[in-house]
Amino acid sequence: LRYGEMSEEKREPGCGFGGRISAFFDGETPASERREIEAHLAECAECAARLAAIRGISAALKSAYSPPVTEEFSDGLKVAYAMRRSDGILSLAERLTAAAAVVLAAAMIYIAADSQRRPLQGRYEPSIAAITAQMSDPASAEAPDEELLAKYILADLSTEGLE
Amino acid sequence: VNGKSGPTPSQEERNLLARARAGDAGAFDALAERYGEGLLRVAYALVGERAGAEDVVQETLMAAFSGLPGFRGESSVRTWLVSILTRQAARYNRREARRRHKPIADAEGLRDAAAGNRQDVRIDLAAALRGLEETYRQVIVLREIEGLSYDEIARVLGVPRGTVESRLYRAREALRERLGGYYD
Repeated sequence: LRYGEMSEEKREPGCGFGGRISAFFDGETPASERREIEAHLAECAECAARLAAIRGISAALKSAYSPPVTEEFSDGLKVAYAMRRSDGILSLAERLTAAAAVVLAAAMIYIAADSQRRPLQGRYEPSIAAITAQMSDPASAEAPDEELLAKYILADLSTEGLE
Repeated sequence: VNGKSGPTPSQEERNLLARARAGDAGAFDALAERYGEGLLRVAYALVGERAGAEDVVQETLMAAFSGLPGFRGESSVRTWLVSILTRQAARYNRREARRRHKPIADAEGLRDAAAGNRQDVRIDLAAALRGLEETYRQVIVLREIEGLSYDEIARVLGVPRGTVESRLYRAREALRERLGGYYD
């Protein structure tokens, strides 16, 4: 697009220089076009009035919004920002804590479920085998260890109960 | 925004950004302090009331803090912050318009800034600004109050430069229509 050409809606009415006057005021017109616009301004009362109005409105806007922000205003902003950021950090910490709690709970559930599964998968079987081996050992057959015997009975019962 | 800077971050800003990215909140605070007041002024012009402007600036700084890893330094920190602020202000205005079921056309805060006829002008000016469509208000504020170039405004709003130019023209025509009694 050339400077001053409208890219939205329909082209401007009148002499067609309106957009270029606006850009001219802002110093956004290329040097090659400035002389043409200056010549137009000398001839077109409408654009001269437009430029004067743009200048007046621009000065009024700068004046209305340029006074420095009061100390109270900026202090309030700093405090509010600091508090908001603290809240953000806190909520991040809270989210992390909650996430950690979920992971921990999931891990506990998994472990509990796993420990219930393991008896079926033979956690007791090696013990039974060991106990049987020990009990069938001639060296210990005469005086079977009471603790081992109790374990054997319990293991046998639990296997039966689960079947 | 205070602390005018070039098209890309200065060396000092790069250092602050690097420290902030590494988790040094104090470094980000230094950036926030440098640009905070200027952001507040722009926010005030965009949303038209003080409390809203404070909210918008706080949301802008929070969003910038969160978005630090994504800032590639292709624009100045100032332009980056103004981009975020413009979006936050537009979001705020949409939220307020829904809440109030009408466009906001208040001039709160400017009433005590002047006296007599000058006060009337400022009130009318603020009301006229608030009465503009959001896209027109954005270009006027970014140009007249923030002092951005057309290229910078185009970057901030993500529109072609020609669109900035046409929106500015139409925004000025609309303001002129509303304020003709003062400036024609």
